[in-house]
Amino acid sequence: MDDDPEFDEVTLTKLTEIMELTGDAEALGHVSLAWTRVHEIMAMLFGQLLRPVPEERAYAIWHSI
Amino acid sequence: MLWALAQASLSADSEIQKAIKWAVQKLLSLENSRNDALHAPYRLVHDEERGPTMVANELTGNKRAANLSGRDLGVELESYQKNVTAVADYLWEVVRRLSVSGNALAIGRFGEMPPPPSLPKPAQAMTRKHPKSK
Repeated sequence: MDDDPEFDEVTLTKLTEIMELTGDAEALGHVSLAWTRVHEIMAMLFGQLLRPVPEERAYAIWHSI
Repeated sequence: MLWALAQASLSADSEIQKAIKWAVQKLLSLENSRNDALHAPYRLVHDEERGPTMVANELTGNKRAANLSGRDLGVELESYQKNVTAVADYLWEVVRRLSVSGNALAIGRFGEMPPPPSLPKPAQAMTRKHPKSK
């Protein structure tokens, strides 16, 4: 199959498409991770403001909603 | 929930409450953009300049895809990520200061909070039209 130029062209096209989509998918992932991080920080802040309630209880409340 | 707790725990003129209020307001507006990006259906088109390109599929009638109509997805996503990260970093500064003080009411002893970061809109994304399918 390596000698089949048509196959190589198709493969190359597909690989190019995959590479393009990988970049977009990665960018979507970065948005999701950034959002997750801000929620983790808000959970920590929630725990700090609830002191002297133990952190694990504060997080249980935060993550219940 | 965080904002309700901040209001109940802190005085209205406290630096921490102001910072949390700013962050919550910004996140409410960013949330819609985030949901557009993550929940819109997409399709693959061939752009003459950029080759295979992923665009929101507004042909489905999906509202979130329609919100992304005519925008450069890459620019939009980078903008969302940067703005959410900027808010997260600002809130992290609040967490750090509270960790040092150990008491939300004692935050004044550690100086004022820095001004909140600016959150630029993806202006470039507004000008670019959909790449046409071949």
